[in-house]
Amino acid sequence: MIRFHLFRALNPTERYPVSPIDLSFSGVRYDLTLPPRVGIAFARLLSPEGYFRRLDNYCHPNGFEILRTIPYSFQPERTFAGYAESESHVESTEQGVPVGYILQQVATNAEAAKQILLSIIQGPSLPFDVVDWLFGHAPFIDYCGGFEIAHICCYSSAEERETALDAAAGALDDAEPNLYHPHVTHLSTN
Amino acid sequence: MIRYDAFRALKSDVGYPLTLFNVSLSEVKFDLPLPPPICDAIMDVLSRSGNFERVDKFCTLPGMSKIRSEPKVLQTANLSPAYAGCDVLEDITGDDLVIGYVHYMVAVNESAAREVLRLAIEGGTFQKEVDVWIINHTAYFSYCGGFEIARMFCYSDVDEKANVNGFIDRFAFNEKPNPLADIPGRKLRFRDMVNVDAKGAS
Repeated sequence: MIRFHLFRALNPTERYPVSPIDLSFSGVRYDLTLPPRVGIAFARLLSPEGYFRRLDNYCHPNGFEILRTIPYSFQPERTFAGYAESESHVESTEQGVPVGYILQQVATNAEAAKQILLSIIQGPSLPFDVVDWLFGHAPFIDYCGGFEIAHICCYSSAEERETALDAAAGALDDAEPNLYHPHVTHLSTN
Repeated sequence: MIRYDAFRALKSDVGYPLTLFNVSLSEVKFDLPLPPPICDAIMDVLSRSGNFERVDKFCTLPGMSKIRSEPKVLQTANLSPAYAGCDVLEDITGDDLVIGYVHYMVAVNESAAREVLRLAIEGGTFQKEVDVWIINHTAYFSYCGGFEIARMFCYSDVDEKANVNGFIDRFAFNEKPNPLADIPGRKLRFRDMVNVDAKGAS
């Protein structure tokens, strides 16, 4: 099982850093790979409690397509720190061997990105290595105009599938129940 | 640091499995994620077993592009198992940002793909779990018409870059100086300002 966390800007300004990383997932190009602890910290920062408002209208894969093509869809809510999230489980089966991935996505508007940066500066109860990393990459958050994070678990066997399901569930251990709404697609090629 | 290993067919034949993966590394789409031990084992056997001929003229980035567009160029005169590989480094180091990746890629011809499968079935070359994984994915090796595997290490800070640096010498395809050997000095960072060792923090 392979698990990784990716970051991309939704509406970058001119000062957004240039990244050499050319890694696309499901046709979406990402700018940055996140260390696992940072990726998980991001997922937990965006809780409906506190500053952040969950925008239910976008909490499905099609909602994310809209946010990518029209990032200012979040604009009516810009006075709020808004975010959306979704989960997809895609799998095919060949000769009884499951191959697939679990994709958990989070997107924020620009205000939420600023609030995250502010909360880091003000000293939230995050591990130092996570804060350190976020400080070092502040321009990515500051100039992203909202961001999207993908948490991905890939598997290519039945054993890895179980591990991937556990890992995907584990990412939400401290998160709100029912935070993600799965959209499961199964395709058999037999 | 993240490590990503992936597999793709060079010229898939009828019987090659359909996967829903859509992962692209440097604009090359891959079909299957590879567990790192499988990728390591295959790359190791290609370069060290003596069963496979290395085609040096394609061991460059343009050479790999040529193989992708025309897989048959990797066929040898006697149809023996052959491979080509190279590595690519992209790095941005400036101000407080250190971001980049090292991408190893290797392509094998159809004979080599079948040879890898044969070695797994016979046993004794790979570790048992590698044999099992390859045999469980027989259709990928049988109908790929040759395959390409990628091993990519991405880093996004100086510590991760140092971790990647530890892998370079172990995996380098080309005999050349380690491109990441000259790690730039650490910038003033949060942990320096608060005088806390991050490794000791929970």
